[in-house]
Amino acid sequence: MSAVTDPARPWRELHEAHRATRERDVAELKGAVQRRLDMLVKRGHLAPETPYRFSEKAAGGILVLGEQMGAVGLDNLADLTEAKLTVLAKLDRRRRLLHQFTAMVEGTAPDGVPWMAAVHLDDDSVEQHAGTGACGHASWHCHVGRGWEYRPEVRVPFPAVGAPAALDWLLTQIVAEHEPAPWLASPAT
Amino acid sequence: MIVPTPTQVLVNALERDRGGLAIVIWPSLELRAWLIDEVAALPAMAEGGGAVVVKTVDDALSAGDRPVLLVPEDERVAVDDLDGSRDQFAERSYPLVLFLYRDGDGERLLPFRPSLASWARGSRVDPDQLAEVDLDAERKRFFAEVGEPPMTWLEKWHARQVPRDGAGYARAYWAELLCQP
Repeated sequence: MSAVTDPARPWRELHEAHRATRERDVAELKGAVQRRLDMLVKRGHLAPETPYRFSEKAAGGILVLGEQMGAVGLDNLADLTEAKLTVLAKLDRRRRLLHQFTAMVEGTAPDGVPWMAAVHLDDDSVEQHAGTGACGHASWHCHVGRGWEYRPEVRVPFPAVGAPAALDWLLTQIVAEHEPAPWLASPAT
Repeated sequence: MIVPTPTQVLVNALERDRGGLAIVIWPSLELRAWLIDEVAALPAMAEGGGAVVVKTVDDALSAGDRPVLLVPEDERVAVDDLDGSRDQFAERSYPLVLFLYRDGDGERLLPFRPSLASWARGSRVDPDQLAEVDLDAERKRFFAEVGEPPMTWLEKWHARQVPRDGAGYARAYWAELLCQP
């Protein structure tokens, strides 16, 4: 089978790119998340003490970030009448690896319909991969929909941009002004 | 009981004495880089033109009135120099943060440098030690809050027998930490 026609190739390449993100920006992750939470504070969406609550708990070489912050209320969003933000990370400090990452917003649209968006990096410290494979259940993936209880649960592969940029994507869905890469030219250029 | 997070303890240490000295203890070289990033990311460090990282007390004095992270290559020299130069840092508006290796030359010298020890009193922080949980106590706290051991709850979570939401995900990360051997 040639490489061109190998249907697994793009997914295995994406999986390798996803794996590489686990070693990137790990030490800076907490500060990167806190800066984004601070942006939400300054825009009036989060309580001022929230960035300090994005803190750590460690046991052995494993460190968990964000558990103490939990799901925090988001205020003054243009398109959601009420919403909560959760950001969590599980890291191996000694090997400087990101094992798992979760960022999600759960809320209610003005018409009363539930809405949620989440971006996940699956835990690589467990014995088995989640899902059927690198296509149907990519390591970095996102969900957008009404909630976890609704089927089908759509899992969209996410680009290998790393955790801070994945959080940027999530936040731009609810706070457009946060856009980190604004267009500078027309689409044709 | 609300236990202050390592970050809150650090922030309190920096705010206890505006323009004062805080000492951050690091346990290993790889975690020193981690802690430097962590301190540098605190909002207080973005004030006064942003924080600078220096290696000597002379460089800290030359940096002027802005947040300074002093990460000395020679801890004994840095502790001695700081002990003798408290007056020169008296008019600062922004924190000076000294990084010392846990049980290293600098930290062992501190009790013998009363001026520096007094200057930093109450502002010595070991974030790594603070972050480390007492696993037995934390497992009991989990049981008291959730009604079952972390592993039992986690099995239900993975089997999707627990409703998925942000609070549930936070609890799952907590349970996974507590299932460490």
